[in-house]
Amino acid sequence: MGKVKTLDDLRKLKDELKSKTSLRDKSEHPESMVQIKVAMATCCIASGSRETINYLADELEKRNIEAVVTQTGCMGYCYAEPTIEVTLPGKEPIIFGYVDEKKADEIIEKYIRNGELVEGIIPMNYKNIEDTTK
Amino acid sequence: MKEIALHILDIAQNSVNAGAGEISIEVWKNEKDNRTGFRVRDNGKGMDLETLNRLNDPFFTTGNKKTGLGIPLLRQHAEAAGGILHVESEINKGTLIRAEFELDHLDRQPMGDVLSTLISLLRAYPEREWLFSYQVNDREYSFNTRDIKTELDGLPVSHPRVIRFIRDMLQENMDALSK
Ligand SMILES: Nc1ncnc2c1ncn2[C@@H]1O[C@H](COP(=O)(O)OP(=O)(O)OP(=O)(O)O)[C@@H](O)[C@H]1O
Ligand code: FES
Ligand SMILES: [Mg+2]
Repeated sequence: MGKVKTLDDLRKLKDELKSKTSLRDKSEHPESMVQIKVAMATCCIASGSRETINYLADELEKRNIEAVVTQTGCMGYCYAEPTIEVTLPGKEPIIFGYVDEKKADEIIEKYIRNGELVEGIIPMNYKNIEDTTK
Repeated sequence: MKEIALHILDIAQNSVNAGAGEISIEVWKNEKDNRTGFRVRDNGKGMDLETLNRLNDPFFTTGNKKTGLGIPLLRQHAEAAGGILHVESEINKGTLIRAEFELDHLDRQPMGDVLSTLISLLRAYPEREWLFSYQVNDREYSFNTRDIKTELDGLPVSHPRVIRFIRDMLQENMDALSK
């Protein structure tokens, strides 16, 4: 059985990471990175947004794509949850609906990597909760 | 919600929305008392009496949508599993929410993936301070982001390698408690 990790191990990791990268510079310029927001209100969580955010963050790292993944509240497209907003550097934000792991994989490979459009894009301000409930 | 851990994420999200800089999450399981549950405490903006009185109304929210389901849903699940929901809040000071369930109740949701909940919060809100305590019977493991940040000395908590490290560390320590 291996030894349980402690804060000492974290210090070693920090020394290793600090010695070889300029991480701090990058996180200070988020506009140069892919930015993703995952909607995380109650209904989004019930429909799987926790898995979506963790999958996206894990996979982007594995595939060496630098990105900032954060959460946001209801974006108004509740009928299509889990929903995410993706902003490529220098581009307008795009909202995708029904983002389970399979869809997230497709968004990474096609849209984020190659700028190709994929199914599931929600036209902004087209059919949001305000229009459907009033 | 399929898991209690998803309620924890949802309730912690309320704390984030309330502008809390420090959020503490406690999760426990106590076989002797036949209880399991969690508590989320924050130093956010708190609630006034009117808000507190309307918390059980699924159509009450101060958010930008039409429903406020989080708390009513949690109360319903806790009460259906022989438990309770306790809410305390003071304006400009903060809020405490405690949900308890009967451990062996047939209608209780499984605790689910607490670790995944914590990691998603750390990833999304690395700038806040998170305290986490995990208790199994009379043993406890606790974690807080202040200690982590001191060790990191400016390196971001949300760095993928750091997140992976924290996930492994929490997993190992939580597993050790359950043994
Ligand atoms: N920790 C907290 N601090 C301050 N206010 C809170 C807190 N938790 C809940 N509230 C208040 O109670 C209201 C209802 O909360 P509830 O979680 O039931 O719904 P919601 O967060 O508005 O929407 P949903 O949970 O459906 O995404 C919130 O809109 C907010 O005004
Ligand atoms: S509540 Fe989930 S997108 Fe609106
Ligand atoms: Mg809520």
